[in-house]
Amino acid sequence: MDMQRRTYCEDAMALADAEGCTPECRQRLLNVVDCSLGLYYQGECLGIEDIFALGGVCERVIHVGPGAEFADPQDAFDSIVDAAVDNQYVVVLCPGIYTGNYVMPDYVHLEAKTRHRGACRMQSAVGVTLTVPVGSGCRIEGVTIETTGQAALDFPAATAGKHYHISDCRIRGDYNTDNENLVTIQGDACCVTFLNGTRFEYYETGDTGAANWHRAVYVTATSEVHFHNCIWRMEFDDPNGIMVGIDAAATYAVEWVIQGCEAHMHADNLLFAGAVGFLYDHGVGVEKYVETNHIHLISTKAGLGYGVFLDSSDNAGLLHATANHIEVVGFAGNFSYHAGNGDQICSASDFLNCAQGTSTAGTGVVDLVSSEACGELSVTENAWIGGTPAGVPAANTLYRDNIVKGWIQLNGTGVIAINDSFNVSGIVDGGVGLYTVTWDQDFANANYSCVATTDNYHAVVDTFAVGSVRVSALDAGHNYVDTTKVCAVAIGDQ
Amino acid sequence: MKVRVVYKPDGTVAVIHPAPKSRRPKETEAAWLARVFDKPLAPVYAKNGAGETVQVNPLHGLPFDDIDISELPQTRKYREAWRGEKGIGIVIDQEMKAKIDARPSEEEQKQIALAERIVSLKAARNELTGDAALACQREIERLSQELADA
Repeated sequence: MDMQRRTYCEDAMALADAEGCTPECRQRLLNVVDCSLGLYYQGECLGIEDIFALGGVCERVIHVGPGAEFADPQDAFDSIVDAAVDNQYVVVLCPGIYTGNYVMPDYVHLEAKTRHRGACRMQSAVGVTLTVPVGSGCRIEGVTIETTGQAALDFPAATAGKHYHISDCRIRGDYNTDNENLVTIQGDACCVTFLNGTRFEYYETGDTGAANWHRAVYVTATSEVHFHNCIWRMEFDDPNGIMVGIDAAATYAVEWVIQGCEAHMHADNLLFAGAVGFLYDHGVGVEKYVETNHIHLISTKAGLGYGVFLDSSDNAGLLHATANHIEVVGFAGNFSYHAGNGDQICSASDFLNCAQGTSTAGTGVVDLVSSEACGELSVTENAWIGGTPAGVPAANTLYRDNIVKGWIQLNGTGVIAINDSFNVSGIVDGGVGLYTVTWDQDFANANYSCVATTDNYHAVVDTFAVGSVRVSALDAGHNYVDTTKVCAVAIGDQ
Repeated sequence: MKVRVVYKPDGTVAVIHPAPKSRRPKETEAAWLARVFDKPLAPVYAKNGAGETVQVNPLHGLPFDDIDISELPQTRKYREAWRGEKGIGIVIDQEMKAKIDARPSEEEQKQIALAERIVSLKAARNELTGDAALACQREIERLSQELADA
């Protein structure tokens, strides 16, 4: 047990003793301490006051449901008039469907009686389904929160500085309207943690407007938002719109930590202007961590629209993408790490599988874009460059046509030795000074460029074919000659 | 490492050397060599049996032996004299070997080339006047010194 955790646990137990807690209550408190310490990144932990606020000490329990103390959650919330930091309540939802716009009071937590998926459901067709307490943090566990109207779950601006844990919840929106956000976070310095299999389900069926945004989580505040072991399931039928798993509005410094999550984002009928993206981070400045996630972005209408894993669009952020598994299938546009002005995206060990949707391409495009002059990009694994210049090639830009496709250095004396090579399957020794280089990956045609040289003589390159080229070494009298260094480099279409 | 010796109809040989880096992870040596050895080369034009000009792969269908690279001749001095036949391997054609031995050495060839260059410059100098003739004379002297040093 590390020192920090021991201190927190001892503090928690001392308070539990003072309050005369039951064994169950003490265990609950320890669980919250463990959970909180485990959740915060790089040693940043909750203060003990925050832990008490989240876990309560000896919480009072109110049940809602058929035959329970209250039939409607809002009636239960409204009945609580003496909640405080040392007198917290848990409202337990029994299985049932509860329809309305619910606003939680301060120092009240919400739990489902059973974790069977969808058993305890709060839903609304108009307005926000559930608004969290603004004067305190809270935890919400196991509840299904649904909407067909606006946001399912809202953290208003007044939640500034509070901590929230949303655990094992199902947050679902079935929309056919424009520009809806399933979860909205608006409190400055608010810290929201989604964890333990919390699902974001966003189904968009009827919106056909141009350039609409459909977001599962939308942050319009300078805050911290953490996702641990969460799931996104989003289906999208908007030819021109943009579907986004997570988005921060411009100018807000949001600290993201997204770990161990899984996203399935599926677009039908996407047109050229449409897009599907997992993380659109338009916020400023701070470091963000996206690690060990599985992301699948799929379009069924091949050859149109864009699929984007990370778009860090604007402002001098440092985004760490590590060991993610990313699959982007069926789009015309490129899968991207998109680094904006001053951004740096550090991608380490990400697995990329990006199949472009055109029937002729068959292989994917990993678009490593730094759209602004200050952008930097670091990729430690293989990158596939598919871009071609639309006009005059941009200065200092990598295109598929300016990558060296193969090279070799060989010793043509004694027993021929290939000293080193790239994309060369072998050579054919055709005689003195005559070497045919065969390419491992063929060129698209025989119109590529190949230059060769030797250490003592001049070289001639001829007999170009898609899979081979002949290199000859000749002396001053134009006689074929063997020499100790023969080098060739080729660039062209593949 | 194996190489493939391909025996051409005129008795000469081509030798295919695999690039060590072309072997793929988990690929067996047999699969790797088969892939490299069977790689087609640029087609060439040739007459077929009916006298028609057709494109053929220069090494396709020819007899070959796959041998260890250590079995190749350890010098290429007589590469032009390499001949071969399936099952027999590479042998040195003695007639061609004698021709190669009779050739002037590379150093001797350079000296001959220098001498020929000097002769041609002297002929040119007689056609020149003024600065051009002077420059030509200096070049003749430089090459003459180089020849003397050799």
